[in-house]
Amino acid sequence: MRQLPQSEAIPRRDGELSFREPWEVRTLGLVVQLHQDGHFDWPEFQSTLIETIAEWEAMPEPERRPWSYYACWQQAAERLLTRKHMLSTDEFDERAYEFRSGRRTPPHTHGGGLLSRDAGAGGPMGEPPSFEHVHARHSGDHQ
Amino acid sequence: MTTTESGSPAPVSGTFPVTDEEIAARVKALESLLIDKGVTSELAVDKIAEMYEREVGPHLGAAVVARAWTDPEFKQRLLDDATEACREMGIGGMQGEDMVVIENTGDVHNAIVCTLCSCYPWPTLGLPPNWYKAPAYRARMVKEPRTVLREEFGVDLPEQTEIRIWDTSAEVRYWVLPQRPPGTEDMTEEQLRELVSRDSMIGVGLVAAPA
Repeated sequence: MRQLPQSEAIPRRDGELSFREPWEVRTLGLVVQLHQDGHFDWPEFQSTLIETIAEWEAMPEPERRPWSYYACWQQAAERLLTRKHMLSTDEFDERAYEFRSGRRTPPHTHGGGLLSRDAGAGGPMGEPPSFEHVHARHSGDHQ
Repeated sequence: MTTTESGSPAPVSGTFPVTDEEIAARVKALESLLIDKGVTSELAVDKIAEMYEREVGPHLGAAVVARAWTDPEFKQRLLDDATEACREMGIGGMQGEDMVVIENTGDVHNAIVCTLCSCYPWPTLGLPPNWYKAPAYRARMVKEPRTVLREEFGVDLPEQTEIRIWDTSAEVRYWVLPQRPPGTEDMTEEQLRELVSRDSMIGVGLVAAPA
């Protein structure tokens, strides 16, 4: 039986930024790209995400880390990719250790300082972009 | 527990990384390993990150709503098959393959929640706000929606208004066609777009006419 916060206040005040940290952006981008390239169906990722969220919710409150939506994504991504034998837990552990210990430095990545503002508060809006043009440009199919 | 040949401390597997620093290292590891294996590239991930940070957002849904308010035939197509109707406007893509739009009326107020994770119609609303993903919203919106709407979102509906909560956690991505406020009869479609908030398309806000 999951222990859901039945009467907790909904965290509106810090609720407007989509991403707190660059790693959150990277996690989203990686998962979406892997899905779009056909490495897994979305329901596969979704059910793994539901697992990691449910596990967090089932942990006794004093023992669990603060709620982090993208931490659940990160865990779900690792779990799904190891289940599909694309990567192993040992590889993850080793590579993560290399980054933490400074033995390996990450390449410069887009996402440093790139925190999203909330674009939907009914402020002034111009023409909506043509989504197909956006999609085509980013998939690199049309130059 | 094992140690690697280089003598590095035994990594701990299978436990949740706790700190931001630990998680950041694991995300770097994930990306780095996938790049090594040729499965991804920094550039590919950059493009997707940028798209969902900058380009896809609720202004797209607002455009659909404004068109539905001013074009009754489009509105009917939207209610019949939202994915197809949005595609007419060049709007669609991931997490919008199967969209259903539900209309708010004087009698019925609709709102969406994903009880298990955070399913949300990305192509029209962008990425979900943090509170939508939080356990409190997911639990309470199902259990006591009228209270949540009033206390957390300032939406105080008449007692006789029926509230329907739609769970987006299966394949279908629901979102709300909010009511057009009175006093906007002379506004153009472009002007109407500016009134439509993200919250009104989730169902936790109402659209107000400009003062």
